[in-house]
Amino acid sequence: MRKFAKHLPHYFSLFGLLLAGILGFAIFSYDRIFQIYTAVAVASAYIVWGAFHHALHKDLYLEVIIEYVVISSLGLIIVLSLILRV
Amino acid sequence: MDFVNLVLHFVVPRPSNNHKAGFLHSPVIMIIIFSLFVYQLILTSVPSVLPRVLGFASSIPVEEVIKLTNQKRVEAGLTPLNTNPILQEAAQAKAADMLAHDYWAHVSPGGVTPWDFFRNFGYTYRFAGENLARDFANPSSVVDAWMASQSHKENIMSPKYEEIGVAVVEGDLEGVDTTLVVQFFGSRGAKVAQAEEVVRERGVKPEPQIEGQYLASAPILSPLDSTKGLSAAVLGLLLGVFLVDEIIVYRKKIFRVSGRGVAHMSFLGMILLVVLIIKSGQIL
Repeated sequence: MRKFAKHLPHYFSLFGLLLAGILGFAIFSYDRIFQIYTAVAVASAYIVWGAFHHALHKDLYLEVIIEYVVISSLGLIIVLSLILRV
Repeated sequence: MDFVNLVLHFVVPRPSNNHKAGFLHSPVIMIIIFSLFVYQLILTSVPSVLPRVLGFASSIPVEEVIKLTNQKRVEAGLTPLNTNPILQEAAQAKAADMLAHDYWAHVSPGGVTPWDFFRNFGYTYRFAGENLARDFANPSSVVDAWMASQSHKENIMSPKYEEIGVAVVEGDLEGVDTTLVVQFFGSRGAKVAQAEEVVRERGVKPEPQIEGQYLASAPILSPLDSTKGLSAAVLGLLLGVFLVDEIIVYRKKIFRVSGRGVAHMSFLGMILLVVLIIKSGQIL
């Protein structure tokens, strides 16, 4: 929480990224290919954001990167399972 | 008491879980991912074991699709399309062909094009077009989806077309109970009279529009809704645990090597919104 307040500018880029993803899904609600690309792009960008964020704060470890990969994989599999079920 | 400890181990950061809620450990999340994957495999295999258990509930009156289509045209200053019984028949045949040969495409695996259906029913066209939709719950969502797609919108809004035929057919497509909507557009060429004669000779009698005609299906389980429900439950659980974990770590000033809880909650919150945004239905 304290880190969140301290590094608020970092989170603006993250929120911008996530907002772009939601808008992409809302606007192109029937374009499955676009939605798949959006899901992969947002999930990948989230890992990159995590790596940069932790590298800048000098607490980047393999365990941390794995955590971001796992969380983004969870998000990706949920979104893809829905897109491919629509 | 052991059960309480087990629950606390998974939802609260404490020494037993190295000060990080058990659900948030990467191996546990990997198990959740694997479980979701297995659930999708089960859903995919259900149609071969229990046919017609999966499907999409729908209620799509044919005349409502035509009415909404014409409404869009009138709003854009175009003339409304006239319902043509021959096009209705042709659209019905196209939908039946997709179910019979188990495909979802403008051109069948055997190479039959939409225009073949126009010709087979004796509709000699100058211009012709086809919009397809499946698995929508109601007529307005079908027309809205077409209007959101440039190529489908061009068909609906084309001044070249004068007539329309729509078919809504329910059946088993790729093992899933599905509602297909076929929308044919056309404007007739010079050989109209001849074309209508062909239809009469074949004994194809165009069916009159039945007031309130609609198809309603009630499958046991919607694959999309069940996936949405499970996904929302998993995300809700993880978001709750992340929140509890973050609050406790902040209050107890626990130092640990970990990703940012706020970032993870934001990402998973976005995924939850996407889960809620995604609607059923495909267009082609």
